[in-house]
Amino acid sequence: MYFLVGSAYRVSFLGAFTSPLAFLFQMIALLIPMNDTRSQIKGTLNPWLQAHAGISVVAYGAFALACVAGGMYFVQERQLKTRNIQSLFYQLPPLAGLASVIARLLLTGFALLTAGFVAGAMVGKPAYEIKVAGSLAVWLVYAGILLAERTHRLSPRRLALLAMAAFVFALTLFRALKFIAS
Amino acid sequence: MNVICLGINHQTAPVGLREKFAVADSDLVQAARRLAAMQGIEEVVIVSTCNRVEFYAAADRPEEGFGALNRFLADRAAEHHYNPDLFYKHDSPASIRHLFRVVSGMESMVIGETEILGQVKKAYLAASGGGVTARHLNKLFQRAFNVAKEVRTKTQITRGSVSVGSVAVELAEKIFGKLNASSVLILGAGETAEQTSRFLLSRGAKSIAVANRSFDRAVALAEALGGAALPFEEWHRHCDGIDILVSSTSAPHPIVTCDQIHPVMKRRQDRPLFIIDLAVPRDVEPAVNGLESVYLYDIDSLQAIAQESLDVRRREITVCERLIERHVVEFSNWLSSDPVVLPRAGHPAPLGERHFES
Repeated sequence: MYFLVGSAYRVSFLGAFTSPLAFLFQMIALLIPMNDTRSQIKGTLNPWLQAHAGISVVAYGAFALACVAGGMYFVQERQLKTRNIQSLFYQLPPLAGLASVIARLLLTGFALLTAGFVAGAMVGKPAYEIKVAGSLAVWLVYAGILLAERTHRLSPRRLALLAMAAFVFALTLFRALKFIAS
Repeated sequence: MNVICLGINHQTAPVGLREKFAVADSDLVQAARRLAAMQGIEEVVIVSTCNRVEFYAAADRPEEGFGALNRFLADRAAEHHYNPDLFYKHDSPASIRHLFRVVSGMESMVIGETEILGQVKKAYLAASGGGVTARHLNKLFQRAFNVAKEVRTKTQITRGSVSVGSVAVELAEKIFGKLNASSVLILGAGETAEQTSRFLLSRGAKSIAVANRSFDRAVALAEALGGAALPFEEWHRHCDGIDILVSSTSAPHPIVTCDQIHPVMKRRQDRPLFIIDLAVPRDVEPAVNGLESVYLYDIDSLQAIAQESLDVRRREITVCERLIERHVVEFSNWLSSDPVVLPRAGHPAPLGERHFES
């Protein structure tokens, strides 16, 4: 993922922002196991299912990075707007670079999510309708953001805001769907 | 072996005195050779910039070395009276510490500036090329360049910009990234606006336009900057396509208002606009900063950032001194324990023998 966005700005700083989040999520996953191990699929896995799961995880990884880049945009933008320049200002990339990275990550994530859908459709087994509806809602949200971005209807600031909001929406939606399904 | 340093700089001597002892680039090697041929001097490097004239020499006996330097300077001063008391004198380890501080920008007029490193490198290369350095000064200057690099990367001595123009450019680069796609519009043909615009152009700004109440002055400034002149009344019509607006008119009231910029931002679909207001009284209504994607900086806010950077650099001096001290001790230990006795610089000795590295 860094390779895909690397040419636009300093990669290391996105990593510096992402690593604490990754650590936090892993700690939560470790301390509060949410998956019921009894429901794991036994026997040989369908390769389309594996592709669907793998591609979708990377897609959400791209959306997560877009969300982090959106956060970086807001930190930098706030410093510029309030004229309160802190040491972080000199480390963060320019606003234009961050906006370009957000757009690139959203596009990458969207393409991968679409590919994940196609792979999911090829599995040949009925899927949970509620999960499909949720995924479709997320796909539509990102499609809407990208459409607005491509038709120049979004300022870089709003793009950053929507990248963060969409990811929070996706996380909340899947958590809610899991709760409803259970 | 001892390393000695004798010199004057902007803190100890006025420019009138510094210029008397400055050594021109074209004379650098010859002067160093004359000095190296004198009794008491083994190796020599002359650093001569607009803010300092310094002589670094390796000498077995510091008193003899300083004596040679004094004779050399008295000779150069010719009809001017040479007063040795006006020059600072350091021997090891103070001379080593001084050089490390100089290359790190700690002794510069603008603390943390990096130009001095290039100037010292140039001076060293001239001396080295002229065959007047050997083991001790080669090692000392190479260590100095490493120290400068370490100081720059491990401390904040070079953080931020310390002048209004360079702060404006730095902010523009933090908004737009590289400026080669950015267009600039100047309101007013004042000196400050011109200087800031030149800064922006030097960083690659794509195009520049000037609007001024006196159209003739607008044309003159536009020609000087390689841009286009606009009638003052039409400036806001050109705002859709620009990225940076520099305003410095002598208008007694704001000429750039929210009512003017708001529709402009709508048409620009909130593409960022950086406004630099250098005028006093201000040209731009402060409320303009409240518009989305508009970043307004007036002269006070630019100066405050420059001052903050300078304060940070000053605070970093203690950190730099700690870092430098370790290298001073290491180098002093090496210098005092080095058993190698070399043929004197400036005296017949194969060039190859005089340039071996540690």
